[in-house]
Amino acid sequence: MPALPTEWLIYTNQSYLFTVRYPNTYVLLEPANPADPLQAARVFQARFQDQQIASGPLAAMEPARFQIDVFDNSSGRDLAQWLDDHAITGQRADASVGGQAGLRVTLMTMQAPNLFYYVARGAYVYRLTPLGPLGEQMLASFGFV
Amino acid sequence: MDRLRSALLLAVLLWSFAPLTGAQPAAAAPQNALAGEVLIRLAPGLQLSPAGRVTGPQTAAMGALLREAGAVAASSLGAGSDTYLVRVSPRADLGALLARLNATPGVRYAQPNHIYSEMRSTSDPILRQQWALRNIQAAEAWDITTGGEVVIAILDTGVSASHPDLSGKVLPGYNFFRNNGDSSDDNGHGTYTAGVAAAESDNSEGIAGICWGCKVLPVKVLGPRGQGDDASVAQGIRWAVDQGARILNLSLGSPEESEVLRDAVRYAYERNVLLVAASGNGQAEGNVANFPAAYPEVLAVSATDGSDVTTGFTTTGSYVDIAAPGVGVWSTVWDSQQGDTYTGSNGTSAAAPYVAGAAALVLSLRPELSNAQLAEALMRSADDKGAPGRDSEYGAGRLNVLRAVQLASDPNQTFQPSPQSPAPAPAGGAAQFFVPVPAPNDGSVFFPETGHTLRGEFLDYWRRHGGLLIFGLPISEPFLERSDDGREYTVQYFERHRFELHPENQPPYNVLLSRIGPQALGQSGRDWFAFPKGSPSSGCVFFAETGHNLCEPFLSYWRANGLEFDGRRGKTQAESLALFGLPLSEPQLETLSDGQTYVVQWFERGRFEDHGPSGVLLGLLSAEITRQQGLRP
Repeated sequence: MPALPTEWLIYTNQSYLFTVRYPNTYVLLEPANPADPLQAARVFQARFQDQQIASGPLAAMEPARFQIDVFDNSSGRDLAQWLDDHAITGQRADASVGGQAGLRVTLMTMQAPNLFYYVARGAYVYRLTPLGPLGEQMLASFGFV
Repeated sequence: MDRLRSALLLAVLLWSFAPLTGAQPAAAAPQNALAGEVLIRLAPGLQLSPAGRVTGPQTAAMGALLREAGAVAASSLGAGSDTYLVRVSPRADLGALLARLNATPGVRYAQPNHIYSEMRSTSDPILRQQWALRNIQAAEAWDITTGGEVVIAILDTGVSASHPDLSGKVLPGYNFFRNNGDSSDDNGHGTYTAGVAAAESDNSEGIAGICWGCKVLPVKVLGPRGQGDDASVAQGIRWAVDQGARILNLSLGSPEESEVLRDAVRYAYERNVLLVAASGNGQAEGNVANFPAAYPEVLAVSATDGSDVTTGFTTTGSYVDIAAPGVGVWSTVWDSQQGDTYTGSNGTSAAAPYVAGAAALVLSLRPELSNAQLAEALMRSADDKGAPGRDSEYGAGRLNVLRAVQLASDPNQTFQPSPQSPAPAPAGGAAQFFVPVPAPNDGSVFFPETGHTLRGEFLDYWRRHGGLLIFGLPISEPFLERSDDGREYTVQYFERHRFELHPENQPPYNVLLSRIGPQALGQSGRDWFAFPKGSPSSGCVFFAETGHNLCEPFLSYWRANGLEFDGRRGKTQAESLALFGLPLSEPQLETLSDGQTYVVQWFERGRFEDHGPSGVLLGLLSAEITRQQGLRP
């Protein structure tokens, strides 16, 4: 069974101006997920993985427990328009992300992940992908600096 | 009535003595088994000598049968084992021999000695990356069956029929997203789930699916980006059922409950279709229940990883029935850039079709199983993980395909639905279970007189506690029926009794007999409370509980028969009481359905009839009741 966290740490990104708290049982991984249709627009990725899983035999196949992707939006498109431009479909619902108005996008198919949070800020669109049991807490801790 | 009973008895006896060699074997020859060998498990107190001679009480019939079959040697399967390998004549008709042995007192079961070979491996190049197949013991299961042409409906984004690992397996489907016959995949997800369940295997191409022989019915209910709605999914479910699919895989869902979807799920369930659905990937999102998985008629599948731990994303809850691998699962896929290809992916989307494929393997072996029994077979055979017993993460445990097909191929196994699943209400009601069935070739005992079979715990009970004379012939197949307590039980009807399976009880109370006496009286508008009471009389036994006497000749019959508690010769009062119950009437004259008048006495579980020179016989109460109910002609 994955270890329970004994402490929560803070990750801050000074380039893209966000912060998130993560459990000390998670590790930060190198960027991955080349199959992402938004790959071309991505400028940054932070993947948090349970450290037991990260060292296991299927580490390369395991989806990250929490993932933050930052995409280019230098054209300043409205979030819904930006999603349409990039052919991102799924059921959309309003959601607060990092204290700002964002969108929650879910797909009916049950491949993991199938739930995403989007928020536009400045020249970027941020996508948060909570997948693990601590995802909700990490999502709530996300904020802009 | 006497004539009918005699004819039935004669027919049974004639069948029992069908020759072991000849042109018309009583049962089909066992497949993939060694000639001249059978495996026999004996009842307690019986043994077989190294020369193949049986010893112990009441073994004359078995001894004669073994001699007739040319038994020359027997060896037990380990010290103290009550199961023996018996060598018989290589010319013996094993099908007939096994059928007769299985109907012989003292034999708990007899089966062929099946041939095993090295565990089946396949030539599929991606097999090495399919770690999940090792965890669920798929390769070992394929030694038993690789599946028949069971139809698995894939309700998804469509299926690519041109994929080389699915070609020839994809049936014409329907597109409920566009309302046309184009069920091809414009997303990839449906081709992925189809491959997990039923990709072509051992074909030197790609991956191995679970059910090699299965057909895939593509039902496109989701659009190119995985979107769909209640209407398309509900229509797809109904359409797939109407096309004859026995298993539906739904690697899709929504946290919203829907009456339309629920109705469609019930439509499928009531038509004996197994619905398998992904439990959802929403653990990070409050772990809310997902539909259709959370409907009780659906087998909900959570996802596990390589260590058999439920994944961090899988939605859990009391509705989860079973778990299966859902991380790094390789399968077929269609991609807008690459076309037909392969990918490794994650999700309960991947876990559900493992279960659907395994269900198809089980159904290939036991096509008579209901959807509830099929689900039970998968859950009972799952490897218990997490908290002991059923839990909200794994349900009954992680899928084990080998154990599932082993369970299904054991003719002594009986099934009842899990408490979570409502009883099936198949079209035609209970009457369909009274329709004669063809003789199976699975080792169960078949009664050609009525066209019904006996197996498992019911067979064991029938043999141990009186057989034909006490219970009569089976007049139905086992099926689920709501009992007086409002719960569903596996039941089987015989000429004189109704068996009700209670696996929670120790034998002999794992099978309970209905209070068929009051039921038969009530059906004819009579109440035993209204019968005149008796009083203690010389030479009789008086039962103060009901106020009735038990006198000759019924007293001797009552004392001579009963359930078998202690294995000792003769019956105790407790054993007789357990079988017949208390007397509900004094001996009284009644004209029965054959038009003849007899002295009868009613009991809780029977009606004694004095047939003069033929002695005391038990009334065919269950046969009379079911005929009056219109369940049989």
